[in-house]
Amino acid sequence: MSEQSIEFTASLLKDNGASLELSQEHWLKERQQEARFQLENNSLPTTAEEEWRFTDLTGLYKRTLSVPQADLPVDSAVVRSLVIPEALSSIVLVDGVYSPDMSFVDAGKTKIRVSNLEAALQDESLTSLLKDQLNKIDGDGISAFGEMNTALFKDIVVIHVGSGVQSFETIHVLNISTGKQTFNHPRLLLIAEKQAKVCIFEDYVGIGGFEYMTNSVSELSLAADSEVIHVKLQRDDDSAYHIAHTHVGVDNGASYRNWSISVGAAVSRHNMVTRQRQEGGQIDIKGLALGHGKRIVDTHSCIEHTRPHGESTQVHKTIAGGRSKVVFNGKVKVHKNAQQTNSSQQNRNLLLSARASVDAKPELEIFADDVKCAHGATVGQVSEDELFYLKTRGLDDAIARNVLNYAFAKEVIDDLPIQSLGGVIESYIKEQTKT
Amino acid sequence: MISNNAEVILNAQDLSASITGTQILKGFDITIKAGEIHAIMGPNGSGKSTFSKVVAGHPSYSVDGGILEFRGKNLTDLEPDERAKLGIFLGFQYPVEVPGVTNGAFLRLAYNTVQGARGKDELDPLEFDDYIQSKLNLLGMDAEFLERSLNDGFSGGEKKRNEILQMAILEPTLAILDETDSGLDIDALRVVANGVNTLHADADAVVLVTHYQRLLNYIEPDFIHVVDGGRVIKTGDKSLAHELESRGYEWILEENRSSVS
Repeated sequence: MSEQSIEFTASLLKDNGASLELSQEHWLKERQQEARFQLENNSLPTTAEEEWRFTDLTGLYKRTLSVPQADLPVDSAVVRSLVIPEALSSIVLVDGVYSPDMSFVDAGKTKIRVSNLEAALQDESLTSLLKDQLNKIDGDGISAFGEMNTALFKDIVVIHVGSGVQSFETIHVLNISTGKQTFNHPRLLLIAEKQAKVCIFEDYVGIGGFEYMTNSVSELSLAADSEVIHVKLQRDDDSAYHIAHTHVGVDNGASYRNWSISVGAAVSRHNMVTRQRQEGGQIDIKGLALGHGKRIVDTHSCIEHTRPHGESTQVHKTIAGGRSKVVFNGKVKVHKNAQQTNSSQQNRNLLLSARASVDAKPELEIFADDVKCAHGATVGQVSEDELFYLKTRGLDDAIARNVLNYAFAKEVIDDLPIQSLGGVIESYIKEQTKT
Repeated sequence: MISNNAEVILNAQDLSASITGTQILKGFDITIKAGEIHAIMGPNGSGKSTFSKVVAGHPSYSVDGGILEFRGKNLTDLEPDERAKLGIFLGFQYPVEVPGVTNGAFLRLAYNTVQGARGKDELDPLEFDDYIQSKLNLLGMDAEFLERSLNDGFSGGEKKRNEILQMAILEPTLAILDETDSGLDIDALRVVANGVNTLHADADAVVLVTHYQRLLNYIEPDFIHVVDGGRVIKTGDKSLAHELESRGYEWILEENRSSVS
């Protein structure tokens, strides 16, 4: 434990969490208090811990952050420019709190129930879902930051896709951070019932150009034969700290497809645990992380096969330029009875500069004996042959390198199910990998 | 077509070049004028492919001496892209596969970069689609080619057609085609040769670097140079190719050795 992290934790805990008058919801209060208790007794991580060895948060712990001011106005034109055209519903959170004015849910068109915490608690069935599922998707994988989110969230976005509701309509959950020296703890719970289909776009963006910390937890529960497409785009402000948790539970025959793209923040950490809860199930994860300037971008992923016949694929690509530091820890765990698991993991890292670094650690823990598990990790530079070829066609060094850097990343975003995002992410890549 | 008054496009005199300290070109001489088609032939390891890479500006080779000029301008200090903008095109023996770069988008970028540098208007995607259609037709290529990644998973014939397609849109003054015939079946060879013949005009020059005489049945050269030991040891007209076909290289190499000693 470090003094700084203890002080930092204490300063955050001055906040009281959900500001609603929720006295009647004892279970919720208890859960927040339990998390608070855990947090008080387990300080936030430092580089002394194996899991945080490469990601130094001292800079964060030195900051004095505060609760964001409520109801800060956000220019509606800015929001409009951010919401993707494919979104049938858009849920806008400003500094972690649902903004009804800026959100748009077409109740006539959508059969998907989208709610904030206040509304969910007025609905019996949503309340019981919250009770059953909140903080339950992955109980033991939660880190101190996850506990912090549970202790301090102000609101929860609840998305409920009923049994057999099949529409890949996109729900855009837009998390906007405005605050100067503030923190926010966005919380998302998505429940896909049997044979349900949904596409969710989880988006983090800073608009003030100020330092802040986002500490999110997203929990997704996939019942049997459901299909969830989940795109997470982290485009926080270049000075921001972004800590995120994604916890996913997958039942029999369900399919979970994830794209996680990190192109922002000064320091970011994505903890992702995807767990098979029943026999079968398909998990496909694609990741792209851009190291730019002095950024630290850290992805810790764990795919857990707990039952037989599960399938998973993972492709994680990173580009490390400038003095950035890129970390990938990709765990694939195959439990003893998870026979006939078929899993593959690929990690490709492109190093653009001598002062950037990549720490890649694929970790396979296999306890079953009848499984197929492939994995590979590479760190490389731009191919001189490709570079020369493009130059002989008139492209100068900088443009040729930019084209090749984008080409490297393109595999991850090629089949993005949200078309308009392709161009958005392309411009981030091209801008951040310029030489 | 030979014309004595034609402009000198490429002039190499006593050119020497090396890679990682090993000298490959040792006093290479060649003069190429507008309108001409030259063939550079020679056994494996003679230096003919190195010559084409040196002209294109491959960074692994350093020019250690001699003259290398394009239309009177010294080339040796120019980057490969600057040479391309001036009008030098290298058709690769092994076109590089570049996964993730869409062929069509790349061709448009190359076109706009090179033609833009020559003061021509850039084309937007729709205009470029129209422009490239006739070039695709010339090479019997389907527009579907443009959607694929650059050379990625292309067959040998497709790669070579794609090289000639790039030559067609970049409109070089000097096209050096390095072993363009290797890996081609007879039909693909005809298409590629027809493309080169159609594109060749009085104002530009073509250099065919080839191991075999076969290509020269389809593209008729004005001059044939035999290279050995990093320099041109014999220059002749197209009849030399037939002689090489029937007698092989050995007699020329012998002839050269005895004249040297």
